[in-house]
Amino acid sequence: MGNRYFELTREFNRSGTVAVLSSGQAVVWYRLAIMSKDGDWIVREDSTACSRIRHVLAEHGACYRAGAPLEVDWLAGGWSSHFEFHDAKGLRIRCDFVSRPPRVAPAALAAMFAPDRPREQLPVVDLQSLITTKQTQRAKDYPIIGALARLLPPADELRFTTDPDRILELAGVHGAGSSRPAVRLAMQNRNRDEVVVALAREADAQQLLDRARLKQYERAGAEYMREFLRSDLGNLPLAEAHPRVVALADRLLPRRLP
Amino acid sequence: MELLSEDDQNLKGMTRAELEAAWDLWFELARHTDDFDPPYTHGVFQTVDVDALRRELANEVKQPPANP
Repeated sequence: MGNRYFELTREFNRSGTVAVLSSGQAVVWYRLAIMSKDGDWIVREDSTACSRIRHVLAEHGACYRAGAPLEVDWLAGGWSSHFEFHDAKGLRIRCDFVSRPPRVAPAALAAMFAPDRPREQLPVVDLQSLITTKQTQRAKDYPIIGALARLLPPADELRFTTDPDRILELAGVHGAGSSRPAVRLAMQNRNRDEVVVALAREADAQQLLDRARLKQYERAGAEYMREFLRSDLGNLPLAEAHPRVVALADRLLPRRLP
Repeated sequence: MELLSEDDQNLKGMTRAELEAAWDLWFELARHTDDFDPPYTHGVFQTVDVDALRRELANEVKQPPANP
């Protein structure tokens, strides 16, 4: 059957780019790994895009998982929407959507949905945006960032790599102007251990920032999530559930973080 | 320091169809761990303990109604 998430991406975008494949499946697309069980997309932030995606998911028999409604009002506040269905073989397909991926610059987001994007290509997030989305609370994302960075030109690789050996190799030629402590240390010919420690501190700071961001959403969404689960909205067909999810969010899920 | 083993590096030599077939095979095998997957791996609800919330809700149902 092939990769269900690549196929879903084609379905979402049949009449124009509304959802760009991101995260784990994008890593699969770039041929750096094969292990990702769910699909994550960056949604174009308009009601036509949300409607198209909900329509495709409904055709597959998807149901909401506890999460924000797939509607612009909440996506624009950074919330995420989550769905699940089982394919023809009974395999679980999980689909996650955001329109404001953390740390991705607005210009990069706009470029993803630019009208001149080649239609024949599968819409997949660009490497630099993918790397910034991977600067998460999870330690396991950081080696992947190093591997993704290897696909960039050396000067750009140095902006993102998590590999001390690459920093030591590239800093002399491409390090001028870098604000990364690890790069600056390498440029000063400091020993490898100092570069390694600086990289570990940088990754730890990024993890803590992301964790703090998620905690804000957890607090703001706590009552909503409880009611979502209590209402059993995840067991309703999507078309039936959607207006009820929106009504619940209207009542309990702030569109923007307080 | 390389992330990928030599086998992994072969991903780059596969055709697009071969890559999708390989993922398909892996995905079928991976279903056996579905029950152990965290509820969210992306998005803003990753730190929410959904299982604990469900347990709380189940306990609410079991509780006898409070005396009026």
